[in-house]
Amino acid sequence: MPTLTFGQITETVLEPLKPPRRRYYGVLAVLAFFIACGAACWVYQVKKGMGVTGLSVPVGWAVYITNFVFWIGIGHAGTLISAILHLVRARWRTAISRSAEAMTIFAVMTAGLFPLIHLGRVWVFYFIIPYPSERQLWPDFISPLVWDVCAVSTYLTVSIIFWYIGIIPDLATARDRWELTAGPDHPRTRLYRALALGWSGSGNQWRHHGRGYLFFAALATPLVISVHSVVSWDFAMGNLPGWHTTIFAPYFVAGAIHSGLAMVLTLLIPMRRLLRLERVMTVDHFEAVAQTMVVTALIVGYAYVIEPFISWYSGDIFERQFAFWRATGWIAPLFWALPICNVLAPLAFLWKRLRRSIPALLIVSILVNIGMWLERLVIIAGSTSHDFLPHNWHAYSPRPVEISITLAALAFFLFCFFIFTRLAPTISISDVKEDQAEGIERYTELETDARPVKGIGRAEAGLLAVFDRREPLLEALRKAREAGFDQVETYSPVRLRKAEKIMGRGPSPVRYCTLAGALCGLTGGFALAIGAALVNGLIVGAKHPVSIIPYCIVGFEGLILLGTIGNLIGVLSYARLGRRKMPRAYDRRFSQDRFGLFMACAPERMAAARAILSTVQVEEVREV
Amino acid sequence: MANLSAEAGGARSGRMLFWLAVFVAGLAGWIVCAATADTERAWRALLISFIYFTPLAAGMVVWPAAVMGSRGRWAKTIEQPALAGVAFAPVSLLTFAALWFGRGRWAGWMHYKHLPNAAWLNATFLFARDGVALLALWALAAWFVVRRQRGRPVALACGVAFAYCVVFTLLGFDMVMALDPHWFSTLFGGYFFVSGLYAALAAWTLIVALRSAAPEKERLHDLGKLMVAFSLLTAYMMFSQLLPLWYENLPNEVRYVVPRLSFERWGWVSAGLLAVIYLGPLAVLLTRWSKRTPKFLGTVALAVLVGLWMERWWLVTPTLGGALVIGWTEASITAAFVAALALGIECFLRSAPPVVNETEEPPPAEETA
Repeated sequence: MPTLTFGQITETVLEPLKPPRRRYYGVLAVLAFFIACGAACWVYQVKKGMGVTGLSVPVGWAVYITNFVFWIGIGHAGTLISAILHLVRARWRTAISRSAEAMTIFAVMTAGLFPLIHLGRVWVFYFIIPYPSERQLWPDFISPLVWDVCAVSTYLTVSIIFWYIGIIPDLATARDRWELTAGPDHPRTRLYRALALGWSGSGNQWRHHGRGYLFFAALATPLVISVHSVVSWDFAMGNLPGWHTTIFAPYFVAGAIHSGLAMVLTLLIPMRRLLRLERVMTVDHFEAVAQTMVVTALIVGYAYVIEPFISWYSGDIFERQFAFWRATGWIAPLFWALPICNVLAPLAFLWKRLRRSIPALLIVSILVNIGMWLERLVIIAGSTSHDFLPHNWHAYSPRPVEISITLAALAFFLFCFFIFTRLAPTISISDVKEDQAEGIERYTELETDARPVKGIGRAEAGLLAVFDRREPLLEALRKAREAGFDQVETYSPVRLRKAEKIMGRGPSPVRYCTLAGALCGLTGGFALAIGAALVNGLIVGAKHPVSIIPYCIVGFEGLILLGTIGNLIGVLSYARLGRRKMPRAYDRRFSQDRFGLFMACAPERMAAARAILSTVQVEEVREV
Repeated sequence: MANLSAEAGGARSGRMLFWLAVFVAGLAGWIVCAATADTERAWRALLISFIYFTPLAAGMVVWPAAVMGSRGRWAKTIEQPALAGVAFAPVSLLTFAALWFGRGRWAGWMHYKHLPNAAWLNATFLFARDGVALLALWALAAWFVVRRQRGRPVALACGVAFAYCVVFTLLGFDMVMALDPHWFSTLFGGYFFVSGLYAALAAWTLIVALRSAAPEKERLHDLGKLMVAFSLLTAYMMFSQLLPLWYENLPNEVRYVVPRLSFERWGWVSAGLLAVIYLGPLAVLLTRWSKRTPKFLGTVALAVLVGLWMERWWLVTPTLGGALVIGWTEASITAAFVAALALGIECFLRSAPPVVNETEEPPPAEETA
């Protein structure tokens, strides 16, 4: 990425938030039309029953469940880019993480519609939610469908929280920008002011925010793996050829990330051009996505080889005939499209020229999207239509209602994404700035033995210095600490780790909230599953009513959910987010491209403070 | 690793003599056990050592390759002791050859007739393909080490990491899963190479934590975090395999699960593994201090290494009907392999030129092509 000033980054990213042209509303109208068609088809399906779909005995699961698995998978790339790559310090994630996170949320929302659509009698969906009902019957936590509810609802909640916490500093940037350009009462200013929760970019806020964000990433990483594993177990727990196999969990996770990365390219390549983000989102970023896709393609290819091999190796006649049928039966054209679209096509990215070519990136990403959707269809409809008994064998083809609802889901996803591109920053401004300013050093943990600074009351007066760079601020801060100023605070558009060190600020205590939440969630998850089993007292599938092995999933999801909520509470309370009034020393420029140092001091020490500031390159000094 | 090169040559020679003595004594002990006691148990012990130490040593070379392949540069100062794993290649290949000669004593599939997968489990075919694969992997690893001493061979690094996964999938299927030829699991190969990388990581951490007087805390922190990640990944792979088998309860599948969870005292071994290698590292390495303190991190890495040896023993022994006993037979051959690995590392660190880290800048364009 070319070196840009903080101001240029802010300007480039916030530019698309200006009122869009008519063409934009035209696209929204077309998408809304598709959504309306899908909704009408769904109402028709509810009224007439599931007979209007291609579903029958034995093909009870087909396109709707394919869509569910596909859209859940699409979300996984967002979590990979924002959480996993944050943990492994991959710098290329910064420019694309925000859009990918938003994509995750919209994809999971889209996916969440399909179990309801597939349910037929949608009004009884609440039967699967654990609550003390008058029937005295609780959901059975041995059922993979209940694991699904736990995993997907946790995933949606965590994704929204993670995305929102990450975007708060950027919302503050947008708030101040709109306040400066459109005035404090403009609806956009009010919206961003409400959503920014009083973010001031103070050193204290950055410290808790940064730590909390790290824990969100640490919690989201195993979560994303668990979600698609749970989805895969919907099938692997069923005793059907092609479904019941142990590799499904990692295979589905890799496939999900594979399709998600492809969707990132499919969405971001046009978005970058339409929103004119070329200066911040470069071909280098797309190249890194393409390289990651080579890895996921190899994992998917590994599973493609292992599955038929073990089918043959097992000697099981059902597995063998099923593997043979998939390669030669009516489903064969779809089956053979999978290695071509999902493995061979992305392997083209082994060539540098192709992975830096925008048309090649777009074509391959679309091929992978199609291939991964077909893969789920082959797995789901293939196994159900060709089970153990030949007289059960039955070809499946989707009906217009299913096709319409499938297209409506795509339109719904794109509709949400289009709204997002005009309502919130599509690139993490603070992340890009911090990456530009500190590079890989931003991940280095600095130990401090300096005397910790003291808190500053809202009413305390002092001296505020404004800097155009962070180096003079750090120098001034160091001198102020040496001169005995213990009530100091910094304000900045990015996190200043070196300032935290000088101010003697250790690791944020947010971690205790996270740990407490996680332990409560783990205990609560097991307690809920065991308690429900004891109330029901049923033996299902020859399993003991209280079976610890599957309850690990419920306990794990509880751990992640309450750990995230604990972390959220920790960040909000320690960073004092949610307050209405900004600190007295706050200046709107601090969220854009300026740095502030506030030294609280009595009137008699003002002269000493001014003397310190006179020795560094300061832009402005004023008493507040 | 400046401390390593500055170390007194005398101490190093003393260590080498010690490891040589341990190797000779261990090997002699194993031969005596094989000749005078339970011969099948002795061959089983050799198999366990092979499937423990070979993925471990090859994995040590793969780790710097994987870091390089993913554009990582954090490991450049600690790569040298990891690359030393390549010195184990001769022992690995010789052991594989020895296993061919003793196959009648340990290879469970040799005693079955009319197997549906008999063509795949034909002894000559099996050893030929596995031997070629193993030889190719070690050759690739050695080539990578040589090239690494001259520059940053990114493409080759990716190739080594990929080959590791493929070769140990094959060896996992053939040398472990096939011990019971009626049992099969698509995930077994994946589990086998992931747990091998976990063992390699623990070995790398142990060497870095203990060999230098003042190891870089940042690097220890990185290795500690990776240990936590790999303990969770290995646990995830184990659970992903266990759950479908437990759930369906099919006779040809639970034959793997039941002995390990329910028979005799093997259940306690499983619980111990859960505590030591699967979930333990997460609990004890949660704090920053634990990951940055060399002695503590080294102790955890050692515990994981011991736990992973137990895991290999637990994978093999119940299948072959062995008793839950660890005695001189297992101890002697394991000691010999530890000594061989340590000796190889010492020789490598003494004689091999250091890796090249001349540039701090991101790799030039042609390197990543």
